[in-house]
Amino acid sequence: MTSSATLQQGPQEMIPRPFRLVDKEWETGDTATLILEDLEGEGVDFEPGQFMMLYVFGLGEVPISVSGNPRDPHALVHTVRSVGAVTQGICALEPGDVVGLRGPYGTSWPVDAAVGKDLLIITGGIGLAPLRPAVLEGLARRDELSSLSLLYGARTPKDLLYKQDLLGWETSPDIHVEISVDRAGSDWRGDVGLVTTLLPRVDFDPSNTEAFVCGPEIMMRVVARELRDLGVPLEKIAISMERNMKCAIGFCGHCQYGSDFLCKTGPVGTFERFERRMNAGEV
Amino acid sequence: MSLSSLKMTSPLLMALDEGGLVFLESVATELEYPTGAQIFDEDQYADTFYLVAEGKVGLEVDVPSGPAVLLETVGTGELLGVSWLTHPYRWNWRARAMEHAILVAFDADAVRKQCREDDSLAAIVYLAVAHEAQRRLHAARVRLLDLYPGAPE
Repeated sequence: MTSSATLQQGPQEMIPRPFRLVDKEWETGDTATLILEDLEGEGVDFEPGQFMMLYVFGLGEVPISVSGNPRDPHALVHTVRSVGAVTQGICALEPGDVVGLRGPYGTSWPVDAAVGKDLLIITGGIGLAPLRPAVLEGLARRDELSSLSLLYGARTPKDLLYKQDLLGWETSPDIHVEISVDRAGSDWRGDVGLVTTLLPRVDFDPSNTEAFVCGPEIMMRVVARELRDLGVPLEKIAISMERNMKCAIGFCGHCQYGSDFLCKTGPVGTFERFERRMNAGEV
Repeated sequence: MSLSSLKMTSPLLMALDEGGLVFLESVATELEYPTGAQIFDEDQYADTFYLVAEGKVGLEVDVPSGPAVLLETVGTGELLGVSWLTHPYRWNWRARAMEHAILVAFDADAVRKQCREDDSLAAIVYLAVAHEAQRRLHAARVRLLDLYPGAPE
């Protein structure tokens, strides 16, 4: 039975707070990064991997991962791909426009578990957006890690997100960055191939590694199994399971995935926990 | 260049015994390619195969409607070329140095001939090339899924 305290908490948590769009930058032809400020001045304390519910007045509400720096709660950053009515509405916002936000919600990348270990971050496509806060947190806590590596796969060079960040990270001694695309013209000087083909270039100890993997589910399965074959324990591989979160507080069941309501017990969890369900045709 | 120095990065060299290493060294030549230099071309007779000691090599193909398409890259420690081992011994793609590259080139005719005479060497070479071919086939199939949504062309 739902407690009265939870019932009281539920409606409260459903009320969005007003945020103003401060800046917008197009990452690719259909993906924009937005910087928002809290009109109430409180900011958002979030953990890497958590998401917010973004409400465009008159259009609807969607879950979007936070992509900013967890150490800067006053500049809330979201990277949004325009794929439906609401995300088209979000990407069409201009500086000064106001949206409603609630959150943060969900589980986070286990950065603390990586202390003293090799932190290996592997991502594909827009999967870098939920992992960018983990990269930034890893850099902020670099002294606590044995190593920090980012492997990033994209469809083409023009689909790469956060190009300025990537340029900085590629030249930084604090992080080992490898980028690969699926297809490219002969003017591309980087790698072409599946992101897992970059793994042999990374110096890491499989028995002392925390891996964060985010991308399409098939990509996460392929990467996780390759890491397993290299000796990384399945419980040390964290993935992010995205589903259509609606209420985001564990009531409505839209994000149900087997025994999980992913808005509460996800999106981040171990590959060990999700693997069997990922192989099922329907859950 | 001694093959021993490449042993840690190459599964083929790691699997060879001393005799196999000595033989491969006897048919190996170190070659340097400046950025942009062609290493081999599609449909050419595959009389050589390579280990990338340093740098990056791209496999590319010309398409009628525009510039060449880069299909895959091969990096340090990786085997460049698998078509040399089986009939019809012809390259499927063009290989070009994407940056200054140092390659160890092996005489493919000599290696094939030695494999016919030395079963243990043949087993190691065939397994290493089969492993590389399997790895690339898997990667190519995953890429066929076109996993990452991209912006409209």
